[in-house]
Amino acid sequence: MFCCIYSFAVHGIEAAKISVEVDVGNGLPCFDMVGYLAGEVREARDRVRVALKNAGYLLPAKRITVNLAPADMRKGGTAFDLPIAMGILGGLELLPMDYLKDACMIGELALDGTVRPVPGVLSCVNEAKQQGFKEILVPMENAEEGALIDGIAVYGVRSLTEAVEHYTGTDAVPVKVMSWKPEEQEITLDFGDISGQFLAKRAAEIAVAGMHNLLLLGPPGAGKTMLAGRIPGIMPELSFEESLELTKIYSVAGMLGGEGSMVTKRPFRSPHHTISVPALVGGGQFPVPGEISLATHGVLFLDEFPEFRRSSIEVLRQPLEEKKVHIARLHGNYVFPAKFMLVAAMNPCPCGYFPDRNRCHCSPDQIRRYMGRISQPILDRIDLCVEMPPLQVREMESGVHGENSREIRRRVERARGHQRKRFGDSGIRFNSEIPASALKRYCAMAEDVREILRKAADSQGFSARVYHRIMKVARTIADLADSKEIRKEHMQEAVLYHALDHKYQNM
Amino acid sequence: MGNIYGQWMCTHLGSGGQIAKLLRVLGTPEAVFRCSDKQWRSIEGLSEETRRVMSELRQERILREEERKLARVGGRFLWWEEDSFPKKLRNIGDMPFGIFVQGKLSEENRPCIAIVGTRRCSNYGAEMARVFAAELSRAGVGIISGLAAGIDSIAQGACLEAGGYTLGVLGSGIGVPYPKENWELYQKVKECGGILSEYSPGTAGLRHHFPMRNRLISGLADGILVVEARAKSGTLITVDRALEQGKDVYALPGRVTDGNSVGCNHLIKQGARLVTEPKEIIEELMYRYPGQMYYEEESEQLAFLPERNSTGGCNEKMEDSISLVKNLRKSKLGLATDEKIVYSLMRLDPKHFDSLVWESNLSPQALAVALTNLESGGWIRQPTPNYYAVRME
Repeated sequence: MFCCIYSFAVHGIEAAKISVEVDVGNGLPCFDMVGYLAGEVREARDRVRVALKNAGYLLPAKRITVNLAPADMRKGGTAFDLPIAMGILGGLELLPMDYLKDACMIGELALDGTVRPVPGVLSCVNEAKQQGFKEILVPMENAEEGALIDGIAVYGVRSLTEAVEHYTGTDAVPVKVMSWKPEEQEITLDFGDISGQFLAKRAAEIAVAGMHNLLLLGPPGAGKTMLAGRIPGIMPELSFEESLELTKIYSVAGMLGGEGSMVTKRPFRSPHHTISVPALVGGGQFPVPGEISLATHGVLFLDEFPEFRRSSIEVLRQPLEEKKVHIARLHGNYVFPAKFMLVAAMNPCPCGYFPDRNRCHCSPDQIRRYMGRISQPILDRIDLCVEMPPLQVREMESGVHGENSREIRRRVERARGHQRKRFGDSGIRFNSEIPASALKRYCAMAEDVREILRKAADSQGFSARVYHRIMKVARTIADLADSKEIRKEHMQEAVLYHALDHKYQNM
Repeated sequence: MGNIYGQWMCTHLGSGGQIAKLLRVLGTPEAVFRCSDKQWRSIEGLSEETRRVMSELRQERILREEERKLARVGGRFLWWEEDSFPKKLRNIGDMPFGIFVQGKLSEENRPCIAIVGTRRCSNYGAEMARVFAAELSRAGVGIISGLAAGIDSIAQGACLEAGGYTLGVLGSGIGVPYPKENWELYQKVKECGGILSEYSPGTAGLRHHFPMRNRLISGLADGILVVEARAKSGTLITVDRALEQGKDVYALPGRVTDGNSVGCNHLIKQGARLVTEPKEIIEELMYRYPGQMYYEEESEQLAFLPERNSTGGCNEKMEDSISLVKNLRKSKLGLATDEKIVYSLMRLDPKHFDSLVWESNLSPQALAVALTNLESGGWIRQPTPNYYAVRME
């Protein structure tokens, strides 16, 4: 008999519907699996056979053929164990066929018949709903995660037996998900902890408000890492859509916490500079999200920026521009979101202490070569750059701390509100994303304001590239001040956060 | 057109000593080029390299190539016997037989001062170099230096901005800016002033060239000003040459504890003239070059900035402190209150934005506005990003 059960394969952070076709017929007993399968899928044969035996089903000597369609799409992972087992039961007519009509499920099987959790359940359930399924069976440990999707009944099963019981009549109750409430996030890392560093703190605020990328330059011990770690604390709360997207990504990466709950905190990813390119941007045989995707809606902090491999830095170019990353494989193309804010930190020279003449003994050439490790195209995508001075003990002990994160976050949220109103449905989300062609439209300013920018360009000698970036920063500063137009004082501040341009280093 | 045979000799026979030997016997560069093998082989004391050049490189095509190379960089060659060869260079003991030039040489009746100093100068040195170079230029004095990083290029840049004449003497061949970062400055100097080198076009800036070229710097000048020099500075070699040539040496004093001024202070002890204002140099030159310079008596004394006393207060009233800086031809009436507060905190030693927040008690935004205005008004500058210092020129 022929039986078809539906399942889902994770592809990037989305899922695709797979038909698990099982045919049981007469002939020499064998168990064949086809459908462009990876190694671990083929092994399902043994897992399924033993699980069925231990669940109490004796397989008669028949010829069993399993096909996972579409057959030209490469399939990996172990989520097909459960549907294959159920399909065989259907094919052997040990389960009534019409109960299995439109059945879909995912899950790995242990040899004793237990159902094991798999990654990417959220995406699979989402796809199931899109495809019009009314219910889906998922491993119990992934049930809460799956239940986040409205409009489809999610049943968690612990074992093969439970799955069978679901179809043979015993009522199973769909898993209820806790309603998603944005819990008031306690800010453990606070801007108020930082003494001094006024310029850098203000730059961080502007960066977050407009989602501008930020480069921190300073000697060792200046507080670059400390500041970067506190940046997620001044970002607004995650919205439901953002949380959902993040949860999908983390689910696919297999990084959701045991309870399968949603990701509600803004991520702060800080990979070491020896990280490989695939780990940074995503990759592997069946591509898995990399650090840049795991940092979506949060901060990707690259400390010791010039120490990263040149190839790693260069590969960031496209994601920085497009907010997503394309990974091509022989068997398919994958797209992962990469909507992160980049915070890079580095020393200004090889010894770290420039421009302190008493401590820095680097030659101008050494400094140039060190800064040159970061290419101009990458610098072009970093709108804000600040120098952090060395820590002064006197200031640290003075006890004056400035604003705490909560106050700053409030301003940031207002600024984000202004941007939402401004951009509407245009596809632009933040000031940092304004393309050069739209600058005139969104960053209009009076002649005297433009004059300030021009004068600064002359005296500091920066290029058109930098010019445009400063305009965007000025727009964000105006938003933070709740001002509809860009006024003089906004531009006067914007020119301080010089964006870097190799040609015009006035060292 | 130039003396092509002289050019050939200077390009390939390097050392003046060898050239002198050949000329003494054979007479003219053309004769050297065209003489028979028998004639030159009989000359005593020729080096291996000279022999090789004489036997292998006396070919027409090489002459044409040298001409082409020179034309490509838009330069010309001056043989020492020509009229336009700088007279001052004929007076130095080991004068070059020929020089390669781009742009224009200084007029003979223009006074020139060489401004030299360390490559890794402090902001004080940089600002002083600017002030002296600009003031001297405005008085009609030409500025000579080596286009090196640091004091050299700052002085030459300031001279051009003030509309004066500057000559860059290279340790490489013309057409090869050294260091590479000074490419833009090199182009400007070539257009508005002149570039000079005793090395043929395309020669790299090798280490041993630089002490040699320093003698030309001092040779072409009437006096040499040392702005900042470290203890074992290459600048001191230039000073030695200047002394051998009988030129005046001026030096700016510095703090005893500052490594960048150790060389200068040492020179002063050895007898160099201590100067604190461009006026002092200008007045001396005016005696030697009557009628050639333009100078107004009313220049103010160079700035001294009020020091905070040990209790943190300021010795001068804030209003007075602002009036002390030299280039206050600009009206200080235009400065807003915040700007006056910030300006009074400025020194030649650069301060970071954050230090200014602590000292001024202004909010970061207000400080930012004040700094941007002061910078565009020419009152302060950023020697390195986000660090601010008073601007004197």
